[in-house]
Order: sequence, then structure tokens, then C-alpha cells
Amino acid sequence: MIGRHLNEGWFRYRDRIALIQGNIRVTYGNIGRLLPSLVQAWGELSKKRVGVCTISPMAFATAVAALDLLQSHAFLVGPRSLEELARLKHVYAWDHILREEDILAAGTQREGSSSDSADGFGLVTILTSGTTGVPKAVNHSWNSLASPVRLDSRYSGTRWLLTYPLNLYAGTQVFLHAVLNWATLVIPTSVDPDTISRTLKDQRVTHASGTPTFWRQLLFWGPKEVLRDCELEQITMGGEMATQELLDGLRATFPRARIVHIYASTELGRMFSVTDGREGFPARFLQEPPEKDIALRIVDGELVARGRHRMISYDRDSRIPEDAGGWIATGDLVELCGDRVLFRGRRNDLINVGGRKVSPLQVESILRGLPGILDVRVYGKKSSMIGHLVAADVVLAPGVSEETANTELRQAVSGVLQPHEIPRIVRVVSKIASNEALKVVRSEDIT
Amino acid sequence: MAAREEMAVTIINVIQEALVQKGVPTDSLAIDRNIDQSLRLDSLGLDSLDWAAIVVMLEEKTQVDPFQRELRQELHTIHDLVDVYVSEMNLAIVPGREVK
Repeated sequence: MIGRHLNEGWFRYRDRIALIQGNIRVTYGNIGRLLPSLVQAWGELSKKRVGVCTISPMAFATAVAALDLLQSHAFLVGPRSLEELARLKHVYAWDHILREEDILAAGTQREGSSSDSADGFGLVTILTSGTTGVPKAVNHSWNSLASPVRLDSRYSGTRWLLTYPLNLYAGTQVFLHAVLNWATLVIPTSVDPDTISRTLKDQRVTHASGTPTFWRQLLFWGPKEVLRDCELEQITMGGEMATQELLDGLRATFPRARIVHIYASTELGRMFSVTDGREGFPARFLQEPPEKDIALRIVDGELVARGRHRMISYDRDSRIPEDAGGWIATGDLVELCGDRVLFRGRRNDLINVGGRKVSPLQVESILRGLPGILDVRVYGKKSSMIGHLVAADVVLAPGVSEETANTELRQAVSGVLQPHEIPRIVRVVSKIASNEALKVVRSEDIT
Repeated sequence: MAAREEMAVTIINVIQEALVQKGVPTDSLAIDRNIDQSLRLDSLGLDSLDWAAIVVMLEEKTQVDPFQRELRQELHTIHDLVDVYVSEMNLAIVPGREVK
């Protein structure tokens, strides 16, 4: 699918820029011309299981397209150490590993004249960003990954900022949106807010997608005068709950941009998007599916869903956690509040304080409202006496002392939160920690 | 400073910090040479969650948590608490025993 798309279409769009990273510009012609030589060099990988270990967007684009043409099964793993790759090769029974240097070396061989345009049906496996335990290997086809992508001539000339790793579901979505529309993918050289702000402005990015954590940090730390001059047409959020304060902050900073939050998971694929500027999603989605073949319901406070862009299976495991109707428990806790369904955090993130469950998201939303606190991460800290305690990392506003913050925080929340919900361990940090998917990790203590 | 005295200061500092955060007056715990270690733990106005937090904070400072094992001795005073930590520290530095 992706292989065929690039292989058959590149010549028409050969001068169009596919990728921008720093000073590097890669055209669709650069990518398309490499495909025949890669297909030729990797002939023996046809229909084999191949680990793809690269962070270079150019290497990623050419490798996944060539493997798709070869009908191979690509496992997207991102950057890993040699030891880790050897372990993954064993766990997932890969026949071969393609590292960045292998891909670039194969690409420097003599260019072939053409490659077979077989209707490649390569499988692709994504290892979830799971913040706890072993990642799950989720099998998709390039068709299932691309099925949410809207092909539209109005995307011609658009520039898409990629903030997610390409090996994760959200990264594949941004990649496919750009590439399937022959648009330009802009990859920042770092995710620090200053670089991101300047990249948005200087590269005239039109569509930018990131986690709420990413956007929150951009709003806090990105230079206001630079952000004001950005030409963003669309801001997309996914992977975490979009809170009202963040939606409002984005609206104020980017008044012309369409603000979208997407509900998706690696397993279910893209489910629906919300564009009305309010947190959560309309309760009517429970009765009237937001899209064809998508259905949502609440069971025991958890969102359960059935989707059309879902995975094929877990790798080497035919067991899919669903009931007969194809419903999958999302792990997201929700609450029906009037005409809205609001997210209450991940079931696995609940903190067990002496047998009482605490939602870190709810505690975070209260702390965020306090003066002097810019950002916050609430998580469980292991306690020999009580199981877990609620702990918080806080980013303070300039001029607020640690001592004042600690005392005032406890006093400010004492009437609002139950005693067991109040953060007992408070650390002042300069930045909230996030994982490779730019999501805040709440389920573990990352000290 | 002797190891025991050092541990006593560490513990009292952490308790003091917990009391300040809670908004409890800490005059009675002023740190000087005459630390009153006979103060009863249950007289400080700290609840079980506060104590759990104190133990976590002490683990960060001392690398030991005596409460991970079943304690045989009863804890009534700051003195008792210091004793427990000092003996846990002594256990921790026995050669061959892994120090966290």
C-alpha cells in the first residue's frame, strides 16, 4: 500500500519536498528513485519478519515502502541498543534486522531502473509505548494504518510537523497523512519548546500534531512572539486527555487554528475526533456513532469501543481482548457529565492508597488550577506502610519558592481533596518528565 | 557528629518538614543539642499518611526503610524511631549485604 503509493506516484511528484529536517530536504523523487535498488538488495527479505530500527525519516520512509513492496512483515522499533535488538529478534522471531546504516548503505547501491509494482500487502507491527511491563506487539496492515487518512487535494502544499516517533501509532498516522497526500513532513531537530516554536514558524508548518503534554510544554516555554507568528491551520492532539485549560490556552495562542483532539489507540486505531473546543466528547456519541462502524459504550466506568481502523491481531497471539461483538476495553476511565463524557484517566494509572483508589488526572486538574503552579505530574510512590502514596512533581511559576509552594499546596487542596488524595511527596522540577511518545508517565515512579 | 546523632537530626528534619507542610507549629521540635527525643510520636499531630510520607522521604535520604520488614520493637517516641533507623543502617552496611 505505502510501497505501491510511493513507487507508482513518485515520478509525478518528484520535485515536491517530502521531508524537511534541519537543513536537509528530501524530495519524493529522492525516495522514489531509491526504491528499486532497495527492493533488489533486499529480495531475500520478501515475506520475512524484519525489525526496522531507525530514527531517520528518510531511512524509515524508504525502508517501510520497500518492505511493503516485498510483502514483508515490518516491525517498527525505533532506536534500540544492539543488546535490545538481539533480545527483540529472539522474542518476535525476526528473520532479519534492518538498522539505519543497512538502509542507507543499500540505498547507495546502483539505482535500479524500475521495481515490480506488485500489490504489496506488507504487514506492519507496532510495539506499544506501554509505560508498564513488556510492550505489546500490535499487528496492522498498511491498509489498516492508512484507513483513517483523508486524501484531499486541499492538503497539497501543506506541511506537517512530526513530533511522535515514527515507530509508534501516532507517528505512522502523521507520516501517512503527509506522504499519502504528497505533502511535506517537517521533523524538528529536537522537541525542546524553543526549537519547536522556531520550526513551526520558519518552516511554515500548517498542521501540527502532538500529545497534550507536548502542547502544554510548548505553551509554557515557547517564545510567545514566535508562536504568535506561526501559520498553523490545524492543531491536533492525541494520546492523552486534552484538558479544558489546555484547549483554552491553545485557542488563545493560536486563534486561527482548528483545534482537534483525536481519540485513538494502537489497538483500536483512530476512533473519533472532537473539534468543539470542549474537553471530553459529546455524550451523543454513545448513541449515534461519530463515524461509520465505530461504536462506544461505558461499562463499569470504562470506555469500551469497537472500531473500523482496528488492528489485525496481537503478534503471535490470536487472542484479542474483546467479546464476541468485537468490543475492546480501552483502559480509559470515563464519567458521563450532562451532555459530555469526560476522561478520568487510565485504569492502570489509578493509585492505590491503602485500598482507596485515586485518579492522578483528577488530582492534577486541581493542582493545575492553583496559583504558582505551571505544570504538574501526579503519580504513585511506593510506600512500605500503605501501598502507595500520592506524589506530585510540580513546575513552579517564576518567583515562587519551593517552601511556599509545598505548604500552600497542602493547604489549598485540604478542603478540596480527600486526605488520601493529597500529594504527600511533592518535588519541584524544572520540567515534567515524559516518555518517548511524549506522554506523561503516571504509572511508575521515574525518579 | 556521631552516627546516631546524625540520624536523629535527619529524622527530626524530615518530621519538621512534614509538620510545616501540614501547617502544624514546630517550635517544640527546634533542632539544637538538646533534641527532645522523648517526644511521643502520637503527640505530633501526624496521621498514618503523614508517617507513610515521612518513611518514604527518609528512605530517599538514608537509603533504608526499616518498615519493609516486620518490625519487632514497638515505636512510641522519636528515640525509638531513631533506634530503628540506626539498627537498619547497621544492617545495611554489613559486608555482603546489598545497600540500595
